[in-house]
Amino acid sequence: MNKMEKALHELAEMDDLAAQGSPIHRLHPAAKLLSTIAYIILTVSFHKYDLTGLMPMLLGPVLLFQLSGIPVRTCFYKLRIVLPLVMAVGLFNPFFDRAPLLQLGTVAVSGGVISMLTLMLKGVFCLMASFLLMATTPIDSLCAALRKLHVPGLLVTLLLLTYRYVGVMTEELAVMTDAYHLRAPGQKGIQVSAWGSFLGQLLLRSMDRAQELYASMLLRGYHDHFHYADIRPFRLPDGLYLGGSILVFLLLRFVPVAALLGSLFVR
Amino acid sequence: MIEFQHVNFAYEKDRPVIRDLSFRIESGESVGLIGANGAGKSTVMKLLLGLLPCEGQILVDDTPVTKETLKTIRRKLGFVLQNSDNQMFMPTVYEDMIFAPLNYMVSREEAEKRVDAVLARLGLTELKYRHNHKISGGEKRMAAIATILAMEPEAILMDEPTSALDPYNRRVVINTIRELSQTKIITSHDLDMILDTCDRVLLLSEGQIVADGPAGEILRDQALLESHRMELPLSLSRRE
Repeated sequence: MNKMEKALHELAEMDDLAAQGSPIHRLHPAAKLLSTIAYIILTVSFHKYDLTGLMPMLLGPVLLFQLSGIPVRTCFYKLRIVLPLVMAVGLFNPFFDRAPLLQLGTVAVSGGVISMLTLMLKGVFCLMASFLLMATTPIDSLCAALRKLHVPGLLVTLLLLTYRYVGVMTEELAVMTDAYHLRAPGQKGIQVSAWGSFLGQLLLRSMDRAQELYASMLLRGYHDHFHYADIRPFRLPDGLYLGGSILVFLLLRFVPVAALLGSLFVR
Repeated sequence: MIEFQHVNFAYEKDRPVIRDLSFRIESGESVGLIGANGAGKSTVMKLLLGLLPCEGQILVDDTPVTKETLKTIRRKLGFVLQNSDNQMFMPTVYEDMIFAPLNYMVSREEAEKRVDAVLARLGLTELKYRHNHKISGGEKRMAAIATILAMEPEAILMDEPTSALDPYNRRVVINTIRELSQTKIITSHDLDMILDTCDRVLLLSEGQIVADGPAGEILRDQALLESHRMELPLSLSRRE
């Protein structure tokens, strides 16, 4: 199994995760979607120096991971490629913002370091919440929920096809990479001189396949409506989850939980 | 009933792929569309399905294929693509099979019954919850046919249904096609399969029909086939 096939396998595992039957999985996709959006907005809204205020926001995803039966390590494993990019956000803050903000013993910690950590954590928390949504909701149900929330059909179709085409593109990449290595034994990776044509070919081949795949959807009655998605009516438990989760997130956002907990131990 | 009336089509200007094409296929017929590479076989399928715009008129049950009628027309036609990977885009065989009936507003209960019935009929019940990317090429081809049968179309169009299959799976697909009662239009280079499954053959060359007649007659005409870059089916050439 080459790297690309492994990637495909991992993509399919996301579908397996989404098909499980925990209480979180069984919730209406719109409830989970709106709750996730609320979480992301509230997480992002923290001030860049409010590191201690931000920390309790971790409770939300951790609790939901427990309830959905999805191990947190699966999240970090699946996101291992994106996480470093998120972590890189704010990497330059310590160079631009050098004013000391707090003193840890003899070490003065600058505002840049704090804002860098805050940005990193915001990114990680938002990724965890997004992962949780994807891992507990099949993509088609998610798209159906978006349509029910009156998101334009074109945008929703784009989202669905992007998800589907990641697999198509990865398959093409796997075939092309194998073909390249069979004719370039001993080479590590793909030579820089071949990058242009390789990417061009990949794009063209993926487009061809994507067009055929879309045609196959159209020929079987797909028209921006997700009748086939297994989505049931919005019920009371969905409303309770949505209201309850947003309430908890608001409390975590506006009540200084960390400070209150700290005051129990430090006078 | 499917009818092409003076249909013309070109992917690029001045390079026509289909030229003044006219033919008629009655309900229940099994028609093999044969021809060398680039003869226009797949293009004919795409035109019929309204995937490409054309000059002239294409009729399905007397309804012209237009933007407005596409939904009705496509409901009647099931298309099995050459590459099953492009056909099977849902995570599992079951989800792929239920996709079309639900899109056509069949109730979930009824759609599930259809899926189970088709799987049982094709002997594929054990594939139901398998992941599409984990099944073999032969199983995938059969599953692709199953997804179309679950639609309950009036006519089935197949593009190279036996390509890249081993002899056993090829035979399974041929037997399955033979048992289908719907109108069938099959494009293929596998002339033995066409001989086995079709009553009538249309020989396409440079976008035109150069022969139209009983499969047994056209596929035995060595001179005709060779003049259009084809050969006798292996089963016939061995005998002669």
